[in-house]
Amino acid sequence: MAELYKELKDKELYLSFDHDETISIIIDTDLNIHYDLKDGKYKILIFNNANSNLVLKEDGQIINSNVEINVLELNQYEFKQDSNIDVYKGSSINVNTIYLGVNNKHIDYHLLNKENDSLIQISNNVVCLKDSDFVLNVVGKIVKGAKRSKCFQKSRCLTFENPKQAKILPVLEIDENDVEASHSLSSGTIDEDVLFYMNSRGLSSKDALKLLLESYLIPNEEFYDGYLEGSLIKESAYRKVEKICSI
Amino acid sequence: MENTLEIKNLHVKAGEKEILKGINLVVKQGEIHAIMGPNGNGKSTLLQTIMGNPNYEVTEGSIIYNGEDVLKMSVDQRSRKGLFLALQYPQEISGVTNSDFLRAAMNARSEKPVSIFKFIKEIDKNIKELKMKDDLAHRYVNDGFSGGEKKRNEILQMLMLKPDIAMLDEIDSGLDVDAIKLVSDAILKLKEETNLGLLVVSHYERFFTSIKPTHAHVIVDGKVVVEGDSELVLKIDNDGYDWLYEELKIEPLKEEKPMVYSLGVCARNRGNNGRVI
Repeated sequence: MAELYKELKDKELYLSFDHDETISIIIDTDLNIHYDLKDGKYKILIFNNANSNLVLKEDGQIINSNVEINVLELNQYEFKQDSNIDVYKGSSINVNTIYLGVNNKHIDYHLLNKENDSLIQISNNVVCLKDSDFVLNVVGKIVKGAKRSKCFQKSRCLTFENPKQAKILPVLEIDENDVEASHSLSSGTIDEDVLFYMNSRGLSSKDALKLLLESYLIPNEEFYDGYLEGSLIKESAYRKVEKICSI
Repeated sequence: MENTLEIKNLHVKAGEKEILKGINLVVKQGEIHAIMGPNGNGKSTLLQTIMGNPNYEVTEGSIIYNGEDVLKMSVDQRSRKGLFLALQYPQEISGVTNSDFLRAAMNARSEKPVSIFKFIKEIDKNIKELKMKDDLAHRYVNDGFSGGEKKRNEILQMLMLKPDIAMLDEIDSGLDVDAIKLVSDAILKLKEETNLGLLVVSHYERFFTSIKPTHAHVIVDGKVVVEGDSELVLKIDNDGYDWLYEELKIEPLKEEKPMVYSLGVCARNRGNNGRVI
């Protein structure tokens, strides 16, 4: 029987389980997360609460499990993320991310449909503010032999006042024929017609922008649902968004 | 006090093209004004200009609301003063729920935030009245809505915001007969409750029959060429506009449709001995 544990050793966090778990991870320093998730349903919420630049790395495997990973990154500091996760037969991963593009941020996802009947879904919400340098690469790969697997990517990005770079690259690498896959990306500044519509209902431009920003940066209740520290993270994230909206 | 909107000698251009060429109109609270005319002659431009759409530039004339210069107001100020425009093509705002949008709009026009209890009660009542889907409050604004749902959503917003003067731009297009009846009833009920004034653009006599205009105006080539009451609406529905053009010796502007560009030949008939035909 596999050894089951949640252990943090010198910036290395090992998550190895074979039953259902709901885990929230509040990060305030560089961290490498290693997943070994088997035979269960897992919900993982990652919240960047650092007061400095930070590097997050994730790797691991999902076997005979359904995993949901929610990532909330609203910090004003530099941020780097590199995530490599393999999804095995009959398993699924559903990743929902919210990133604030300020300063310099570079995020790489490599999600692999390793065996047949595996499912990968990733949905990214990004807001890039003035002078930000933001890169998000999302690679979904379905390997040869991973028949009937599915890989879906969805990203949307709202940009303000000429970011240095706001680059989102959704990539699908498909080596198997019998699969379903899609990727979509919408990116742009606030539409003048939408702003006129919101103004015409009495909202000042500042209030309208706040509402639009919140729509990207504040997740719905399901995002926090079931986590012990969910309300704490929600409160902290809301304060960060309020601060951003007041700029 | 009776709220009054006065438009005098209004000239408006979009880009380099003059669209409105001297419109005069007075709308008082409690009145229903039908705006008619052929497509592309300035009806929507008039409503958009009153609301302050930045795509339209007022070159001459004035718009006064209760003695105040509307042209000096921002779009949101106009709304908070009591003007409302239901758009012909309402925008979609993905990520913002109808509930958040409407609450923010209601809060913007009141000193104290609207209580959640009162808001939910009010929106639920109006959703039922307009026979919209129960989950509407939690859906994103107009996102994935059918044409008819979008139009009903405009009316829902009007019912919630309770303007003094509402402008409805072809609100009936995309609605079936039953929905037109529902929407008309809701408009008349609000008028009964708040003495709402209305400026309504429509091509259909059926809608005007339901809401019974007190005044009617026909706009041709950026000018009001004839005015009347519901009799005029009926005559236009029966006889069209040709009698008007003949009587007044005027010609309507033809609606400009976007140019269709050919991207070249992508398939050729190779029959007829290989010659391209």
